[in-house]
Amino acid sequence: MTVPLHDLSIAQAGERLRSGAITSRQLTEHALSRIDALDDRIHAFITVTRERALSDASVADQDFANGVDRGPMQGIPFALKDIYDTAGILTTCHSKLREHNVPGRDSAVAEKFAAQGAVLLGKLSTHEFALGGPSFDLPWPPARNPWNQDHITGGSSSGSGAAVSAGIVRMAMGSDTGGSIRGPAAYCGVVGIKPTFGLVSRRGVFPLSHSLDHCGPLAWTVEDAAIALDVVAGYDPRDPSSAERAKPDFLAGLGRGVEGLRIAVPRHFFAQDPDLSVETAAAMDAALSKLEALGAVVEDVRLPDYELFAACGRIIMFSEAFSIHENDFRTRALDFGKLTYMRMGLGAFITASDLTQAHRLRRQLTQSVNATLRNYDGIVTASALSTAPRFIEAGPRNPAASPLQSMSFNVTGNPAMSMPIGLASNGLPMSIQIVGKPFDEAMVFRIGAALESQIRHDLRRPPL
Amino acid sequence: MRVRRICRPATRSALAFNRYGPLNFANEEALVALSQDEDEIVREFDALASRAQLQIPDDRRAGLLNGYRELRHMVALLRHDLTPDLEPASTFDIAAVSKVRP
Repeated sequence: MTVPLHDLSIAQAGERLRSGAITSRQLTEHALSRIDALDDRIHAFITVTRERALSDASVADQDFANGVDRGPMQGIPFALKDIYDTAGILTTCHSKLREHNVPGRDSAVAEKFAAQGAVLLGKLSTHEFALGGPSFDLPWPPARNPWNQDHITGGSSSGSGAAVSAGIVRMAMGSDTGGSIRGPAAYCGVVGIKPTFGLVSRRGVFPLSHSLDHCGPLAWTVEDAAIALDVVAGYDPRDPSSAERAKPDFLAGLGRGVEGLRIAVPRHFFAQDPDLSVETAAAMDAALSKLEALGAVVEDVRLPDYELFAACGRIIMFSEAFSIHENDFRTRALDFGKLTYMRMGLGAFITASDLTQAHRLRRQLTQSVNATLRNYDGIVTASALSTAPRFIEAGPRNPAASPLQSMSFNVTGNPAMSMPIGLASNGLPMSIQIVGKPFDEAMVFRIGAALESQIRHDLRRPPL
Repeated sequence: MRVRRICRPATRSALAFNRYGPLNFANEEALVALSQDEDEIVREFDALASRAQLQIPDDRRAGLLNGYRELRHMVALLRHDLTPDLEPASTFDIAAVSKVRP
């Protein structure tokens, strides 16, 4: 049976490109045709860079013909969340405040994909400034969940989740300050990894919160996420938080299984939360049982309560976000979407002492998580507590209450990946979160790949 | 294969318990302070908005004030037994801060 082009993973497409079985132009035209067919329904794209994509594809095909191999993304279409600067291409942050912004330079991540000969398909929807959404009072509509367009994608990397899930791209870059990669990955049924803080350069990415922002990929498979992370990871002296250390081999553990690995489960994070759905609880049980059946040792552990992580992270996030936008808050208040204003504006009400206490707590929480990881290879916990809500259920929400359990690892900086573990009875994806030691993304991918091997692959595409 | 029931959704009553009640580190004094009356909260909100030089649009005031109530809960959670030697995660680091951008 012939596999549709959009169902080829990055690795599979790469093999066919290198063997001459397909061309980058074919892959790119197929992706553009899927945008034409689907994007009116899912609103994943703000800007489609059609001419640039076809040009990139021609260059990649020429390189293949000349025996030039720039890396695993050569000739592969991808897209960027619209907070990544792209030279000469509109970069809006999904906001009226930047609706005509055209940067002069590429972000570090865009540079790296260009150097690999990847094909830029376009710029993707986001919650405004990676915070305020889903909103209908912005210049562009919010992305919709490909599994059911009445439901949200999660955010803020909303277009990234939708575009990967819909099979338009195999990989899209997102950013994650409190769960903005892992949330859309969870709700859209794809893999999303927030790497260790400092692993991927944030240069040229519009900041939400300097000390919590992480850049990372959303992809269709664990392997594709590892391949994409390998392209973008690495020291950047022009990012003040970039970690100056050698890049590990993220693919080294794939296929090695989990036999003998020790996995910690902070069950109290999620099991007592009233937002946890019965089906998600059962799916979590099943996933943990699968890891045990594969030979992992799965044990309960106690971490500080999730509410402390959430409070700590939000105080820091609101403070840093407001500091970035305070002048616009004073002079252009009505140009922010309502949700953005109501969330980000909270930063104005945080005192210096509040913020300092949050940073002191942050050190304690980080030490606590990493003390646990001295005895375990990874932590497995919930990602989203339920399936994606409908738009009508996702209005202005109490900022302390979130059906995601992601902020903890923005606070600590540990790598954390959300991946799908099945479909609920409403036809929407359910997910799990795997967390590793700092800079041990390879272990996160190893555990994820083992779990992925146990999940029915035919559940992975929405019925669009 | 051993199958265990490990996760159980909580009841609504557990929400209050979990979110505002006996959290690991919550400082009771700080939580008691949250019981200030509504007028006092509004006065505090207005004073902080004024200090930040914010002129809050009418249609956004109620939402922001509601968020502020939640923020006060979050702030209360921060104040637990932090020992004096526990420095902020953002502690000034001369090597990092003095790096000159190329």
